Amino acid sequence: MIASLRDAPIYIVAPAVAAGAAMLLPIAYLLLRALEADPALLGELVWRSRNLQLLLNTLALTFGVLAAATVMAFPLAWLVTRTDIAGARLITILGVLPLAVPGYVMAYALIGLGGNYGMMNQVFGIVMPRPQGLWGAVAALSLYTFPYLFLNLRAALSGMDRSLEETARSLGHGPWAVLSRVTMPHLVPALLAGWLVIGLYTLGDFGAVALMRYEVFSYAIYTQYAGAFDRIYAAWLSLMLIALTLCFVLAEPLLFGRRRYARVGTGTARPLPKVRLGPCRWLAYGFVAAVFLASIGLPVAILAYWLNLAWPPTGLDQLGPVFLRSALAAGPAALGAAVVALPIAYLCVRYPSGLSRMIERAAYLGYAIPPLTLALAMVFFSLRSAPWLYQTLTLLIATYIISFLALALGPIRAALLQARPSLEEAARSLGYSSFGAFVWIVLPLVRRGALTGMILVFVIAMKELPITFLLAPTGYTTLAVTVFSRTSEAMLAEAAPFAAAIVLFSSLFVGVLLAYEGKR
Amino acid sequence: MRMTGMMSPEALIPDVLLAVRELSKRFAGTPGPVVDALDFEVCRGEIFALLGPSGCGKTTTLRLIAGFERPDRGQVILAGNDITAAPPERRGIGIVFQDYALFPHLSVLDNVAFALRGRPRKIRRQQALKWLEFVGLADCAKRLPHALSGGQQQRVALARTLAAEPGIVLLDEPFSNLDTALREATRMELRGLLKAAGTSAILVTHDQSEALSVADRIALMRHGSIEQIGTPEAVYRTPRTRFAAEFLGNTNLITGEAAGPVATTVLGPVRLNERAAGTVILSLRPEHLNLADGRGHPAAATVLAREFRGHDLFYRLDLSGQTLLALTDYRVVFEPGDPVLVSPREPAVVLRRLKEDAGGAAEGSHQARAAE
Repeated sequence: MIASLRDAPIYIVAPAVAAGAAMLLPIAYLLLRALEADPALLGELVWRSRNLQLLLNTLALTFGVLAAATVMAFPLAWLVTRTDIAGARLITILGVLPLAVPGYVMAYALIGLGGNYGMMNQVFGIVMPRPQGLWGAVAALSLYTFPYLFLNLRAALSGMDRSLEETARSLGHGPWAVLSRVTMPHLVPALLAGWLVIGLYTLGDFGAVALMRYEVFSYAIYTQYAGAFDRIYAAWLSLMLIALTLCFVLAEPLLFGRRRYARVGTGTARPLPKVRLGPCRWLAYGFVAAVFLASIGLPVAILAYWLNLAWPPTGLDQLGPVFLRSALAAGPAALGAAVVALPIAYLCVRYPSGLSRMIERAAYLGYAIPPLTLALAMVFFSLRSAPWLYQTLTLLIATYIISFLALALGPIRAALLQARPSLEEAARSLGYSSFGAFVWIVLPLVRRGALTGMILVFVIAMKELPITFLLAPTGYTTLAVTVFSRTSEAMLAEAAPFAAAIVLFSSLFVGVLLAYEGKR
Repeated sequence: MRMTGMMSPEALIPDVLLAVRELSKRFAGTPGPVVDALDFEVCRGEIFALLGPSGCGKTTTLRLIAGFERPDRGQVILAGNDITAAPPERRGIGIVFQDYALFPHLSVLDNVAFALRGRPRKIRRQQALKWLEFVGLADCAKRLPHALSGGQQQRVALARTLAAEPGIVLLDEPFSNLDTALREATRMELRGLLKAAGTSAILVTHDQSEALSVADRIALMRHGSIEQIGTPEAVYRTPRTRFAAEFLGNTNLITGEAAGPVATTVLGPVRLNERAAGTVILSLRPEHLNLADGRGHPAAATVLAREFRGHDLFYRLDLSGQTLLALTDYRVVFEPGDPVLVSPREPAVVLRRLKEDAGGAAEGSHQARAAE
C-alpha cells in the first residue's frame, strides 16, 4: 500500500521541491555563463587542443589513483577478513585512519619530504627531488582515499555467505575457479562503489593537484578563474569536468546492471573460514607496515619534524581564531544540511514518486559536482542575481549545504526506513494529526540519524578547501585555506600547526565513520 | 472534514454500531477492484472477523474503515455518523497493527499515555497505568517495547488502543507475529480482554481457526466481496459455496442427483439439509462420516492411509475412484487396505451452484454474493 504524492503534506513537499530546485541552480548558472560566449569563439574554446591534454591528464590521474588505491586496499581487506593475521581489528582501524589526512595535507607531507630543506636531506642526508606532477598527485590522493575502497571490500568480504563458496566447491570447482566465478563477482558491487567514491573525489580534488602542480581540469579551472580572469573558458572547463563526472556516475549502474548479490535464501549466513598464512604472514606484515608507514607514518613524521624544527612557529596565535572561523562556517552548514535533508528523505521514503526520485538525484548531483566547479557556479550566481550575497558567510554555508546534502541524506533516510509507516498510522488512529504524528513520532525516531548526518557534514566542511577558497569572505581564512596558501608559498613550518589541527580533528570523522560502519 | 454527516437508517436500529455500505476501492495498476461493493454491519459489543485468503481485500477494507485509504465509492457509518471523508484522527476508530506499531523510543507506559492526549501529565500516567493493569502488564510499565515478548507487545498495543476509548477496535492479523505455541492461548486472552472492555472489534485474519474461535460472527471474503456471513457455527456447518466449504476446513465434495430431501450419491442415498432437485454438489465434513467394518460389502470403500493424531484418527479412503476424508474417534481403528462402510451422520450440505449455471436462483441477500 504505497501512499501517493497527492497525500503528502505540504510542509514536506514544499521544502523538498524548493531544495531540489536549489540544487539545480549552480548548473543553470554555469550554463548561462558558458553560453555568453561569442559563437565564433565558442568552437575555438571547446575544441582547443589544451582541453584534450587536460582530459588525458585527468583520466591518467583518476585511473592512477584507482589502481594505486586498489593495490593497497584489496590485500588489506582480504587479510583482515579472510586470514588468521594477528591484530585484524587494529589493522582495520589503521586502514581507515588515513581519511583523517586530507589530500592537500598528504601533498604537504610529500612535498616536505624532498628537496634541499626537506626532511630526507636534513635528517638522513638523502637528497630526493620534491615529488610533483602526476606521480606526486597519485601518491597524495591514493594514500588519502584508499580507505573508502578498503571499507567497501571489507564489508563485502565479511558479509559473503560461506555456503556459496562451499556449494561451488561441492559442484566440482577448484579454489581458483571459486575465486574467479563466485568470490570476485560478489566483490564487483563493492569494488565499483569504492571506485566511484574515489573517482569522484579525485576528479573534484583541487588542493593536492594544485600543490603538486599537475594540470588537470580542476587546477586549470582555478588558474583560468584566478589568474587569467577568463570566466567563460573557466565555465566551459567546468561543464566539461561535470560531464566527465557524470560519465563516472552513470557508468556504475551500467556496469553493475540489475544483478542481485544479496543473499536470496533465509537463515543466518555462516562466517567464512580463515586462510592460514603460515610463514607468509611476514610478507603480509611487511605489506601492512609499508602501507601504514606511507599513509599515516609519513604525514605524522613530517608534521612532527616541521613543528620541532621551528617551535613555536610564527602565526601560532592565529590557530584559535582560524579554527573558530572554520567551525562557524561548518556548524550552520551541518545543521542546515540536516534540516533540508529531512523533508527530502521523508518524501522519498513515504511518498516515493517520480518527483521524489528527481529531488533525491538532485541532492546526489550536488555531491557529485566537483566542489571547485560548484563554487565557481555560485560565484556566477551571486554576481549575476544576488550581488548582496557575494563573498558572504551565508553564501559559503549555502554552498556547503548543496555540496554535502547527500551526506546528511544517507543516515536520515536509513533511520526513516527503519521507522515503519504503521507507527505514524497508529498515532493518527490515536487522535493525532499528520503533523502531530510527524513531530511526536517521526522526529524522535530520526534524531540519531540526523545527528550522524550532521557530524559527517560538520567534519567534512571543517577541512573543505576549494569552496572555502573561492567563496569565503575576504580575510575569512579557515584551517584548510591557511594550510593550502602557506604550503603553496613554501612556508612549510608555518603551515604545520594548522595541518596538525586538521589531522587531529579529522580523526573525529574517522571515529564517527567507524562507529557508523560498525552498526551496519 | 465531516465529523457528523447525515443520519442513516442504521442509526434507528440500536444494535448496529458500524455499517459499511457499497464500499469499493481500486488501486492503480491492478486489474480489478480490491474491495468490491462491500456491505456489512457490526453490532455493538460484537467481535466480527473478516476472513479470507491473502489478497482478498480484507486488510484494505480495514484500512478503508480506519481512514488510511480513501474509498472510490461507498460509505462508512459509525454510530449513525457518516465518517467516510473524515481523517483517521477524527474517526474514533482504534487499530492494532499486525506489527503492533509500538513506538520504539517510548517506554511501555509512555506508549499507552500517548493515547491520552490533552490531559495533564500526571493524569495521563495514572490512566495509562490503569490500562496496563487491565491487560496485566503493570509490571512492565518502565520497559521499552523491544524488551517485551510478542504476546506482551500485543497486549500493550491493545491497551494503548483501548486507552483512546475508540468506538470500535480494528485488529489486523493480530496473531501472525506470534509463534504457534503462543497463538492458541493468546486467542482466548484477547477475546476475554475485548469482552471485558465491552468493545466492538473487527478482526482481520487468513487463519480460519482464529476466526472460528475468536469471533462472534464471520464474514468470509473472496476477490473483494463477501462470500458468506454468519456465526462461526453456521458458516462452518452450512457453507453456501464450494469456496466457503473448503476454506473453513477439510471437506468432502461429492456430486449427487437430488430429489427433494434426499440425493443419490456414491455413498448411496444421502439426506440433504434442504430440498433440492437435479445434479447437486454436496459438502460433508470428515467428522460427519461414520466408518464401519465393510468386509463382504460390495459397496465398501478401501482405506488408503491412516494418520494417528493422538486424540483422533484421520483416514483417507477410496470409494469407486473418489478420495474421501474421514475423521473418527480413537477407537475406530482400520488398517490401510481394509474395506470400510462409509455413512453420513449428518445431512449433507447442498452447495450453491456457480452464478453462470445457477439459472434463476436469484440471490436473496447481499451476504451471499457469488465471487466468480
